[in-house]
Parts: sequence; structure tokens; C-alpha cells
Amino acid sequence: MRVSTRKSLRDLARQRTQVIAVGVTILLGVMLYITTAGAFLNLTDSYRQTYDRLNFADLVSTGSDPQAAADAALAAGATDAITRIQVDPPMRIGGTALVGRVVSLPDSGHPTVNDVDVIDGAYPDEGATDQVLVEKHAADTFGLIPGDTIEVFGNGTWRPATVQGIVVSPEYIWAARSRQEVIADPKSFAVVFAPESLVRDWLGAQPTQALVLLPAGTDADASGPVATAMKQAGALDVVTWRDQPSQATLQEDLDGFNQMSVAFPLLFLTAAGVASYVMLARRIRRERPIIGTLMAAGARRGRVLCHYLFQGVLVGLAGAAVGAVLGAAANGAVTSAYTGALGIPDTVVRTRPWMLAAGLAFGVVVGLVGAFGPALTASRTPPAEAMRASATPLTPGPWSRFVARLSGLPVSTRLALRDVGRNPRRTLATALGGVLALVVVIASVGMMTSILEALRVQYQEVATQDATVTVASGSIGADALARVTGVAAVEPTVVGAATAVAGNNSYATSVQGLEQGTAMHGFLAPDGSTVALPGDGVLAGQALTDILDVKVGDTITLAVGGQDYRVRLAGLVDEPLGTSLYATTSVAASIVPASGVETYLLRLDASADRDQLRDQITGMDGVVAYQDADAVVGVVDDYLGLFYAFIAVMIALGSVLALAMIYVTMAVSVAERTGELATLRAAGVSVGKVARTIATENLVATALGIPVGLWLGVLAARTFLASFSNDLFTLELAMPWWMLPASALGVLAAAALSQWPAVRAVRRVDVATVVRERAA
Amino acid sequence: MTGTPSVVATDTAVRLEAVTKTFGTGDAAVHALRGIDLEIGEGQLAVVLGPSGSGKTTLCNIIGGIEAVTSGNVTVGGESIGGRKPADLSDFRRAHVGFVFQFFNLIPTLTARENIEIIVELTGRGSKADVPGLLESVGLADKADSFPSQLSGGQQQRVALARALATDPAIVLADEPTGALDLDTGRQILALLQDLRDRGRTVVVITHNTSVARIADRVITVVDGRIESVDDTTSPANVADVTW
Repeated sequence: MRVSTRKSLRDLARQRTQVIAVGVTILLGVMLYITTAGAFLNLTDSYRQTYDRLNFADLVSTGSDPQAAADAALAAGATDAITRIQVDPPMRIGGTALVGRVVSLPDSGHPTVNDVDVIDGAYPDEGATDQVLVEKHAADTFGLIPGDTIEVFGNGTWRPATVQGIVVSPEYIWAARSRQEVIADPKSFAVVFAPESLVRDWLGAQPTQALVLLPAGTDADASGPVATAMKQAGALDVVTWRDQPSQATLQEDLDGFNQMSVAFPLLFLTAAGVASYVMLARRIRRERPIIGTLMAAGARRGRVLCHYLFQGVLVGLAGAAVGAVLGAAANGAVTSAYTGALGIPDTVVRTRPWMLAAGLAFGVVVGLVGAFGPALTASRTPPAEAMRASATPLTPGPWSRFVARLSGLPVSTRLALRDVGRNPRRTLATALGGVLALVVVIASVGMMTSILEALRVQYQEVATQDATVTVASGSIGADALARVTGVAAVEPTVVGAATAVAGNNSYATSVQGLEQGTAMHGFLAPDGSTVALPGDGVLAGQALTDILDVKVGDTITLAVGGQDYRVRLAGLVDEPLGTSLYATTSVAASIVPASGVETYLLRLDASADRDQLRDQITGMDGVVAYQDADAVVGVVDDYLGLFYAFIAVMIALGSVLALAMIYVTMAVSVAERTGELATLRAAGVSVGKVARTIATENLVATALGIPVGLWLGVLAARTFLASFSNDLFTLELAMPWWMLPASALGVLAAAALSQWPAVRAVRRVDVATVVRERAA
Repeated sequence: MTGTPSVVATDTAVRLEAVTKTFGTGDAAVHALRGIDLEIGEGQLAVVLGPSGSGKTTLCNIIGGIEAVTSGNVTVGGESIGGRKPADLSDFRRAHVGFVFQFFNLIPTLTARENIEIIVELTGRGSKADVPGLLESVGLADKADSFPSQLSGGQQQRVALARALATDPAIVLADEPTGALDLDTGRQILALLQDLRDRGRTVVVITHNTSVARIADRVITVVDGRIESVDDTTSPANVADVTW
């Protein structure tokens, strides 16, 4: 082994606690990268594998003549195109009434597009007249197993059907009725697959959709040649696989994962680079007489540069290697936890060599970047430095001179304050440790509190009903529901799907009609004020104005069931979830065709037993569906379970980051003034007093970074939230008043905690040895 | 020959002509050397003597190619280094000069042997195979694997001396080589420097210690940036007779 390599290893061993702190920070950065980026790719592959295996449709159209659309698609180059029936009839499953979904299957064999995977039981027998398949989420919600019976309401009567099998569908990996209803009471929705002849018999329906597969490698485009041909053949709306409700919802989640796989590792690696810089800069400063000796002997600058760069690379590579191994292991665990939690049918776990190599490369780059400045300084050391007994004392700057004039302060306080400015780079690094920790914590916690606030606004200020009840037309009315004990108020509502069109832009959404003075829905304007439901025209989510390129006062077209209705955009609302259109019940009723059901919004007494009420109301004749708002929040909580775990991990890692960064700078702070501290100790100053002086300096340096950290943390949280916002989610940063002060105090506490090794170092200073060394 | 500020020797190793060195400019200018003319012959042991602040260390730095002159000519080992750039000076030092400093400046994480070998690695001159011989020449063959913290001050300075010889320089410059040592260990170092001279190397010792000057072939006294005197002797004192 080369002597210079041995020197590097021994130098690093002498600074091992600092090296470990830097290495751990690099380890965490690389581990986070490989874990999250790897999980993102695994999840993408997992979805893709399911989609490929089950021939997930590239394009789905609705319209009056699906067969014509399918034929047009084939003529335009599609590799496969089929038609099917999709209807949302009332259902009864295990005593629960709901509006479910029936999707037709070919009478013989599996569908060639949007196939289903039977995970329990069997596929319906050919010619069977009552066998259906139930989608996994509904089966889990209602505890259905093969052999159970469900009922479907069609042609005025309840039709019993036997559950032949439980299936997974690529369309319902995330079970959502529509893009506007991606979060719903799980007991309010169930997907049932049945042979087409059976569906026709039950519901008298004709095919409603055309499903298309494009040639491999063709990008699904809603305005591409195949989609255009389908529209020309009468397709009303063509949705690509990307905009399909389940896929779009899951992609939102994946995109968040993807961003975090870049942002958080970047924070950690930046911190590691700075810590590495501080650590090496300190040692090179201490070694200047030795480096000067080497330079006097004619050492080549390039070799000296490489020698110190190598030390940075060693630390980076060591941290990255461990991080890569841990990341590769965690990557599989995170992927499996995620696919398990969301019920994704296929789990693809791959360890990607290029990703491990990238992780190692990040470690090397961080080591090189952190070491470059100090190494360059080392290679430029004048040989004359060899003649100095120790590193040249830093010249006091204006700050030191200013503090020196503060004669009213105790000298120990002045010493601490002076030291803040004595080595600006180290102070900056200490402050940066606090800044980065605050960014990690505020960005993580801010996302969580903002999502919770969005849910609170959605379910306490916007959709304020406690339950939604759907009844068969003409069965029972609002009066009957209002008489139920525990029901405080009832309002009728009208809900239906519609496609909003303006110029060449369109957006598939829903129209909801409400009483003009409704107590079941609050309309929040983008400026935070409340607006009233207009007597004519519609209110729309503000995202619609961008999508359709319209403004308040413009007229838009609503395409509903093959009919076009022109309505005025009367105003905008800003709601956390969804981008629906709102109108009075009379306006909505004139747009939404009669569907055989009526819907009511219920407000319940605060003391009502909600489960008992659900049972009571769903047991009433004519009630076909009941959706409890609390159950929706429960779904969200379940969904956010992984997210909360992620936040907890990020807070923990943020704390480690703060501790590691601040520890390195503290250790350097002590090491830089060993002689000074020894002199104080020799003069009889207590360890506690010396430690307090150092602590004061370091806490002041940390505190200096807090305003910047808070600002950057808020900015990072806003940026993350903005990246999650789209037409369906509007997330704005919301934090309780105490969060920023608490975060600042937390970082100061972490800084205070990381004083402990420094205090120990002060305690261990061998006064005699240090004084002897300096005398030499 | 005594009291002559300019001395000419045969087989000149070091020649300075009208050398000046000024640090800073304007009112803050410090004139460290004010027109130095000097020659040191090959194989001589010269001592540059002077009080603190006299300019002797600056003179040593200029001879060793550590600092550039403000004006004048410097020729060392037959090479003119007056107007050279720092990188060229590094090449020059690598080829011609070995340094010994007052504070040893050994790398604490390397053994005695490694402290010498690293010079070979970083300069690309000399051979690691010669390192045992160098250690033996300073009487430390048995301490090759000791770390600096395990060596006395005198032993550390001997390692530093062996390190200075790693690139086989023709000239050894020693800046206060006994400044951090007691009398006995100081004498050991002086004996080694004399030994180097005896083996044909040119040795220049910078010191403020007049006792050390007794071992020199030529004593150059510098005061206030000027050569006050140059004294040659054909019978330098024995190291054992030197005391301070």
C-alpha cells in the first residue's frame, strides 16, 4: 500500500467520530436515494407488470355507438378493440345498500382487453345465469368469499347472484368510481363482473364503452390518430390509461415518491458535503506546517491535491457503500410494504446495479466536492508555512473587533460571540446543519399538517353532510329520512357525470345540485371568502378555468348522455378535493338525466350512533346506498398510514442529520482551540464554564441559521405540496402556529444535545500534553 | 577573511547578486533584504547568523526557492532561479534542495520510515529502497517503525534530516535546526550536519545562536537585511566543544 494511502487511512482514523458522522450522513443520503428511487421504479414496474399481464386498455371511450368506435380504432391501427357494458346500479351486499358497478365480461372466455385475475374461486362457467366475479376491494370490505350471494337492482327488481370468484382488475387497483370520487366510503362502492348476456338480462343495457389496445411502444394520446378516429365514429370522450381514475390516483402517489427520492437524498448529501468540507478544512489547516514541509521538499501540487481528494472520496465511498447495501435491502421492504398496503397485485422487486453504482458515485461526488476546496488549499500551501510552529492564527475581523468593544459583557460571553465570527466557514456550516434539518422537518411535517388541514376543510367546511343516502325514485322522501331518530336535517341533492367543454378543451367531471341556501355544503372562494350558490349558472372548481381556459361569466357546454347543455360559469370555488360543478337542484335536475334514484344529504345529531343509523337507514325500503362521511375520512387515514410512517422516518432522519452536522462542526470547534481550552483549564477555569462558552458559540451559530431554515423549510413544503396539486387535489401549506417555533426549538435541542461529545472532548483535554506540545 | 560583505568561493553552490526582498508596498513595505551579494562554495557548511527579524530566514527561503526575490539574481546549483514561477521553483527545490525546520513537521500518523517514503512518493524523486540507509545514517535504523510521538525531539529532528535527504539534494538548508532541542540533542544534529558536509553536500544553517556558528566553514552575519560580515575559517570547532 502506498504511504500516502496509509496516511489517509490513519488520518481518517484519528478523526473517526467526525468521519463516522459524515459517513452516516452520506450513508443516509445514498440509502434514501436507493430506497425511494428503487421503490419508485419497482412500483412503476409492478403496475406495468399487472397492466401488461391483464392487457390494461390504452384508450377507453364512452359514447352512443361503442362498436363503431372500436371498429374505427382497429381501422386506425389499434391491435385490439372490444366493447362492453358498464353500469352503476344499486346493490345489496351483506345487508349494506350501495350504488355499485357492473362490468360485462364476454360470454365465453376472458376479455382480451382489461382482463381480470381470479385470485380466489373460479371464472364464471360458460352459460351460467347467476355467477359473478367480485373485485378484491369490495370482497375485502364486505368479507365476501366464493359462494356468497349479492343482489343487483335491475329492471325494477333485486337480482340475486352468486360470487363465483374474487378478482383483481387493472382498472381498480385503486377502487374509484371516477376521478371525482377517488376517495369514498368503501361500503358505498363495489365492482362486480358478470357475463354480458347476464348483464343485458338484468339491466337491459347495451354496450357503453369501447376498450382499445395500441401497438406496443405506441404512446396513448387522447388526441392521437386512434383516439381521433374513435371520436369521429361517435365516441364522446376518450380517456387514456394515464387518466384512468385508478392509474391517475396511483400515479399521483408515485410522483410524490419520485420527487422525494431526489429531494431528500439531495438534502442529506449536501449536508454531508458541507460536513466533509468542514472536517477536512480543519485538518488541512492544522497540517499546514507539515504540508508546507512537503511543498518545500518539492512535492507536486497535483499529488498533494489528489492525496486530500482521496481522503474525501474514501469517506464518501465508505458511507455510500454501506448506504447502498442498506438501501438495496430497504428498497425491497418498502416496495413490498407499499404494494401490500395498497393491494397492488404484482410486486416487482429488483436491485438495479446501475442504481447501486449511482449511489456509490453520489458518495464519491460528495467526497470530492467536500474535499475539493480544502485539498486545493492544501496544494497551494506556501512552503514557508513549514517554518511556523502551528497554523497561522486567523486575523480578527470587524466582528471580533466589534465584540471586543462590548466591555459590558463578561469576557466568556465575548469569547463565545467572537468565536462565531472567528471562522465564518465553520459558523456557516453549523448554521447550515440547522438549516437543512429544518428543511427536512418542516417539509415533512408541513406536508402532513397540510393534508390533514385539507381533509378538515373538505369534510368540515365544504362537504359538511354526515351521510349521503340514495333511494329508489318514488320510494321514500326527505320526510321519511328526517323522521329517523338521530337525523338532524335532510336536503335533496342531484348528482351526475358530465363532460365540461369549452372550445377544444374538455374535462370529465360531475355536476352536483344543491338547495340554494344549503347547509350541507360550504362554497369557499379562492380568496378565502364564502360565496352563495347562484340561482342560475354553475360554480366550478378553479382548476377548471385553467383546463378549459375560461373565466367567470363565460358560457361552457356540459355534455351529458349525448345531450349538450350551455351554462354560465357564475363563479369559482376552491376546494381541497375534486373539481366538481355546483348548481341549484333545479338547474342540475335539468341537466342530469333521471337515473331512477334520488339522493339526499343528511346531517346527524352529534350524539347519534352512526353505525346504528347506517343499519337503520339502509334497512328502509327503497334505500339503495348509504355513504358515511366519517368512513371516507377513515379511508384517507388508512391511505395516509404509509405516509405518516414516512414522515416519522424523515423527522428521525432529519434529527440524525442535524446531530451529525452539528456534531462535526462542534468537534472541529473544540479541536481548533485545544490549546486555548487547555490554557483556560490550566488557569483553573472549570470544564463546565469552558463547555458553556463553546455551547454558547455553537448555539448562536445554529440560531443564526434558524430564520433561513424556517424560510427554506416553508418554501420546500410549499414546493412539495404544489407538486402534488392538480385538478383533483388542491393542497396549500397549513401549519399550526406552534410548528415553526417548535421546529426551531427542536433543532436547537439537537444542537444542544450534540454538545455532549464536545464537552467530553473538553473534559479529556490533557492540559500538560497540550501545553508541552505548544511549547515545542 | 573577515568583515568582507562579498565573498567569492571556488565551485560556487550558491550565488546571490544584489538581491533585495520587500514585503508589502507603500508605507507598509518591509525591506527584508537590502542588496545581498553572497557566495557559498560547494561542500561548505555555512551558517547564516543574525538576530530575530534580521532577514536571515528570508535569505534562507530565497536560497531554497521558497520565496522569489524582488530584484537581483540568485544562482543555486548552477541554476538561476531569480525570476522563476512557483511551479518552476518547486521543480528546482525537488532537484536541488533539502529542508530541515525548527519544528520537525513530521506527519504524526506516519512512522519514521513512512515520513521519509512519502517524500519519495509525492516528489517522484529518490527511492524507497534508500530509506533504511538514510535512517541508518542518522542513527535511527532501530526506530524506523516508530511514530513521531514515540520519538524524542532529537530523534524527530534526525528523522527530519533523513527526510531532507530523501531526494538526494546537493544543498541542505536547515532553519534553526537546534532551536527546539536541548544541548545534547542539538549537538547530535550539528554533528550530522557536519557529516553531510564531510560527504560533499553543501549545508546552510540559519540560526540566531552564535555558538552554532562555531561549526561553520563560513559564517554570514545578517543584520537589518544586509550582510554585516562574512567570516571563513579552515578549522571549524568540534561539535563536542559547542555549548549554549
